[in-house]
Amino acid sequence: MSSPSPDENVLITASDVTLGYGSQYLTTGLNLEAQRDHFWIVIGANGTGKSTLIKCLIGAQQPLAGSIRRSAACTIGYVPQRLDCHATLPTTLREMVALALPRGASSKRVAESLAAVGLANREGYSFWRLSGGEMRRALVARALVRQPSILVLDEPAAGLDAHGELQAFELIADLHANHGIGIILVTHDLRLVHRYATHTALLDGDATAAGGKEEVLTDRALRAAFDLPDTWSLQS
Amino acid sequence: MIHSFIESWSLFGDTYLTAWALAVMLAVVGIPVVARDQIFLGAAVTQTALLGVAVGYLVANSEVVFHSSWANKTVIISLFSVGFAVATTVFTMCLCQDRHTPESLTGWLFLAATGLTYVVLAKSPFGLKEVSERVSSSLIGASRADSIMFSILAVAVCIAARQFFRPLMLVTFDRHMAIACGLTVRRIELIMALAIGLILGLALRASGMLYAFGYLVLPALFARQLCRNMRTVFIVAPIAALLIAVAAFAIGNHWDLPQAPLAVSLMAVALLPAAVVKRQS
Repeated sequence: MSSPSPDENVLITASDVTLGYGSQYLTTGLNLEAQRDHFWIVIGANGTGKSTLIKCLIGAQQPLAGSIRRSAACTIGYVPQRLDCHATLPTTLREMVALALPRGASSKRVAESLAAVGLANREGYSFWRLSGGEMRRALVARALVRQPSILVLDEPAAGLDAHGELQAFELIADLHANHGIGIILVTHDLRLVHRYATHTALLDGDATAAGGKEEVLTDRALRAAFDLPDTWSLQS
Repeated sequence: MIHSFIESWSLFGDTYLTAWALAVMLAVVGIPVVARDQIFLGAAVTQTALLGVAVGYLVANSEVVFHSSWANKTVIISLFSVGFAVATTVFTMCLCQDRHTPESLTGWLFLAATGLTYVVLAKSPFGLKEVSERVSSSLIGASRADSIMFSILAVAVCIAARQFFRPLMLVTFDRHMAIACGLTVRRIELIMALAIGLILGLALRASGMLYAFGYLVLPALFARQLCRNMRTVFIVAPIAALLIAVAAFAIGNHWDLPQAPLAVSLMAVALLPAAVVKRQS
């Protein structure tokens, strides 16, 4: 059996995308192709459209210009930074994860997803009584019940301490390496980009760049994007 | 108490059935309203439905309609009540995606509708009396048609809530995840807005503002205190609403108290022990 051509592996294609709101452009000329074996990390200074890009990728918003195409094989699992609903709503971990279960899918997937993120023994716990790190893992489990081909995560380690941040990224890296799930995530931490990414999108207005990590993560581009001093370098 | 309540059935059976069906229906519809933190929207919708009653009253008593053989006053008032309520929920849904915050918008709607209701009926003493009765909630005038219609609607709402529990809750908990899951979120939100507007408009015409708003919000708040997950909220809220409404109408009949306000008072009081249970758990 022949292996699929590179084009058949592409799950999401962003072509000449402009991000923004109304007449305000945040980023222009973004091109990226995401595949199962890609670990994309999106970086950029505040207000460059990182979260807007995530919304466009999942279909919650349209880019101002350009196009974002999802292939037939693309099933997105979305992990938000936080839930925009009240912590007074009663729900268990199991119920929260099961909400994303596709119609007709076996409920066994809920237990499997919770096991994959290390929360197998907490099904009956109140979702709101989980720690910050556990809550983030629960949201990853909720995305996994859809058996996604690609996970889209908006700042998965925001608000976590150094240990929680490391755990969150190790979990995501494990899902990528051992479950064959493509990753697109947003973070502010350049060390994490260096450590985990295979591909990077650096959002910087009309100087936006996306591609292989080594190609995009140059000291010059980072200094310009984050307004860093000339003496700054990624190695330092 | 039970004996006198049963004796009153021949006279007020339709009123009781209408009130209980409304309690169940409103309790279920109120769950997403409370879950989405749109309680004040519920108040604004009931108030605009009341404005619809006021406008409907004026239209029904206008020269042309009053003397025509085809016009049915109750139907005209109901249509205006439902129309205004549906327009409010849809209007709010469209604007809340934009720059308006729900609080500012619903506050504006509530105040505008309250003021306009009394301005519209300023020259109509009978109209003001009708609106005043709607505010304090009286179900005495409920007909056989009301009891049948609301019973059918209550069953339909319960079935729909069971059938669409998952998409409804996913949209409530995480709109973006619902979009990523391929749900047509705008359509679901539009259907919810239409259903809430329709049911509140009909409920206001039949039961008045206090009962409609009270049973929209209080049973969901009560169940939220006691339950550990949303699925049980959908079971506990309508059952609690039904039991408390039955008790209130029996007590009200025995002691000659206004039954709809009593039912709302009892439902509100029931929240206190529920909050204590929640605090201790």
